[in-house]
Amino acid sequence: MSDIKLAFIVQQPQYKGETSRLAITHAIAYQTVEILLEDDETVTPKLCFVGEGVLGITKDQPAMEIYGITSTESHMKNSLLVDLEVLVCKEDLDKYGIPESDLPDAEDMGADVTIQVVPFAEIQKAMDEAKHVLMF
Amino acid sequence: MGELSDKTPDKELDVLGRVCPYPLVLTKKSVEKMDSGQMIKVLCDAPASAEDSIPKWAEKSGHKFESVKKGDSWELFIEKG
Amino acid sequence: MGKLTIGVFPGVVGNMSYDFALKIAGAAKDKGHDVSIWFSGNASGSVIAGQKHLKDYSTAEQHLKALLEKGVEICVCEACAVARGAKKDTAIEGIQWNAMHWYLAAIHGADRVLHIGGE
Repeated sequence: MSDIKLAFIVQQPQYKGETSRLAITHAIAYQTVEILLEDDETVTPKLCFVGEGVLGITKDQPAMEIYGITSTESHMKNSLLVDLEVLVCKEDLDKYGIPESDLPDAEDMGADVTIQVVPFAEIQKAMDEAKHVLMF
Repeated sequence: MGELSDKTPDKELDVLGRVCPYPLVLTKKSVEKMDSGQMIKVLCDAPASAEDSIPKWAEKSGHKFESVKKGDSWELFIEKG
Repeated sequence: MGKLTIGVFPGVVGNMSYDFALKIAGAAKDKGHDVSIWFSGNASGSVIAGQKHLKDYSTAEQHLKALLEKGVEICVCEACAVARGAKKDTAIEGIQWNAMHWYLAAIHGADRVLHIGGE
């Protein structure tokens, strides 16, 4: 069994550019990489939001109505739907005054996991454990 | 027309306008919830998904697969194995 | 020798990171390493063929063709490319088009990954 651990670190706010959204969709692609790998090969990502990356990931986003594109919230929900481990830095949420209750969940879509608000030390641990760290 | 495309699907999934990784991810999620023998029709207009990812995944997963091109999009028929 | 995978997300114009990525790819290939490049985000627009090479403006085509000639594997994110109006049949020949999992697979097989994030 050859599993590669990856840490996707999102430092840029959503909607400022597309990079931060691309972090989410690339991480979600761990669900489909199997078609290009051998049967016993897997990729296990952790999607982590730090610094300004915690901006723009709250719920009730009307991006489709205003911009005509899928919202970051919908991408976050899809992450949870595919059991992606999503970590959000507690210290940075507190710094920006964003309550944990403002973060989306995907229970209504049948997701079994939720966003984990964790101390930065946990995100540091994810980076230490990863074979490759991808900064977005 | 073919063996699968001639039948009435049990489910239909519209991923038109969606791009990778969503066409395959959403297809996988839908098929997971189906019983063996059931068939889904997926509407897709992303070439990398319709012509590569989804058929590759279907074959690897042991599902029957058929594709019908309709202009710039595809109707993909997947029967769960 | 090893395998290097480079993820390139910034655009070619007004950003030296793109230039850096191509230079490091070429240098690694010259040293005998296997090199794969993934273009996503704003970098995807750089695969359009027919770019006029200018002295006063960054363009990518000639550099990409040189890398392909050396045996560097280059793949562009189809979603990002088509969103920018790029078409596979009018793109630089030899560049692969695939979905985001191509990057993850290239990462899986790499000894080192250089991820150059976008704007």
